[in-house]
Amino acid sequence: MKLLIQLRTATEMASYEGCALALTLATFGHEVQLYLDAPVFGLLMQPKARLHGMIQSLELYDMPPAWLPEDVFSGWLTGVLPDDLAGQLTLVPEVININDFQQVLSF
Amino acid sequence: MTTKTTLLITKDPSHPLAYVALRYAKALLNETDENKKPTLQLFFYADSAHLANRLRWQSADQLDLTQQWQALARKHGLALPVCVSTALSRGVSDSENSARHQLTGDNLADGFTLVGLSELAMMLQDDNRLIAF
Repeated sequence: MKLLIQLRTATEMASYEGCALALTLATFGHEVQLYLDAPVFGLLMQPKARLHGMIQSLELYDMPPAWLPEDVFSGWLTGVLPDDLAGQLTLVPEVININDFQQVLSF
Repeated sequence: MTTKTTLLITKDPSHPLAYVALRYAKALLNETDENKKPTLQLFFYADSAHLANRLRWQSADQLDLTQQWQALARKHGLALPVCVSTALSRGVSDSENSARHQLTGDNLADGFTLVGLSELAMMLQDDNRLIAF
């Protein structure tokens, strides 16, 4: 199953649960694309936040880099994050066919 | 043709979609054409774990979604699996997990079970339809 999981809530628990779902589904062979919206940027910047470590490990789960919104804050964020974490992030493509995904989940 | 449908419920019981999920499940199960009747699987994740708290109180004029899900599960032989980590982080536990994590008491509502997130991943392995609320 191909899924888009959007993390949009600025709480540690919601971002953790959304990301944990993504990693678990990827472990079982599902295709999962993460989208990190601006409210979770603060958590990404905290090395002790679970989201920080989980995004660092996306490649280990054979997951593609997480999408970030196409705006100036995303550029700023990738500039201040450590390279190993920034390498797991990319700007959202200009054109997305939402029908490519069988379901879109938001946390 | 019989299809398999999985309802992933993540919203808090007070969210309008929590009620819509129940209505949707009832509508699917009340499908009278046997050829169109799907196999229904449920999975409660994130804030919906509050539904599994038998100590959750609400005023009498509100619909008790916990009781509604329990009744639907009894009537149709459905399982009510709840992600164990999201339940525990919201103070919902069964006796086994309370013993494992040195918690006092348990409060899991009848009919609900605490399971790993891998259960959901396995539900989705087969060709089926996922609907999220």
